[in-house]
Amino acid sequence: MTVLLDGWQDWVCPNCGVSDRTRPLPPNASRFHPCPRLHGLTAPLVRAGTDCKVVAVERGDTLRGETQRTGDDGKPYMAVETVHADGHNDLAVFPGVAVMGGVGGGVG
Amino acid sequence: MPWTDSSPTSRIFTQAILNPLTASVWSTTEPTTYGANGLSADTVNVALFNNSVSPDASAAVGSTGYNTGTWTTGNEVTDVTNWVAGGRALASKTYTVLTAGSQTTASGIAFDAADLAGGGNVTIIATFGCLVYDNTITAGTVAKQGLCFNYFGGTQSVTAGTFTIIWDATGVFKFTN
Repeated sequence: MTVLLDGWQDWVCPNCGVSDRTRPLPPNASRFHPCPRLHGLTAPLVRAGTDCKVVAVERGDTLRGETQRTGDDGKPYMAVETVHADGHNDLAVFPGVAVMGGVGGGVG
Repeated sequence: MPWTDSSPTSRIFTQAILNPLTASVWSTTEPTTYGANGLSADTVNVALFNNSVSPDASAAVGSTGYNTGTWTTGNEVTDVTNWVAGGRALASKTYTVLTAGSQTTASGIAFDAADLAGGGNVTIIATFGCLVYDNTITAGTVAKQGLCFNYFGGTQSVTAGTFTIIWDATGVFKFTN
């Protein structure tokens, strides 16, 4: 008799608690969701049981007319960082959108 | 002038707008090996850079390519295995109407792509932004011509982890009127 093993991976958001279950994915794989407890930003789910925290990182510079992702608190955010207990981190960055000409993407 | 002093800090190169992006409006020869189907068929790469670059949307075309002008490999930020020199290619590219607009509201067109992640865990130290360039253009006035540059809003570093660029909801670059 052959036993068929059916593996899966559980994912969870440490901030809002949303969870998901997938087939096993490569070690560096990520899954994202819009997190209501992280200002509505696109934030990663982490593998269930991971000792980490997921935090939003405010933009480190003035906007100077740039279109930057904004949280539901109105602040511009440049990244969401996953800080692991062993010291390594994961990063999802939010670049500005490139425009033509001046502020807002219009001509001139 | 580094990323941190530029304004605004994410821009389309003027020379990329002139050619190839709008070359078809005039009797302009497109860059050598630029695809007949434009960016949809070409390989568009994203390379990471430190704060020693001087991003200038008005730069001469010969200084807008990867490893030309300020965008030299000496200023590039890489991971030894999973985000190597030259960067990573965009997938699932689109070029569509962003906002239909009306007689009283603005409209827009955007070039967008799937979010971009390293090929595995990476160690990337102090990257401030990226150059988006056409890796299919191999000769002519400039090879690997830059299309735009995008600021990350400050310094970004990862140690032995995943690094993902999540493009703005309005695209990698956009035109509005």
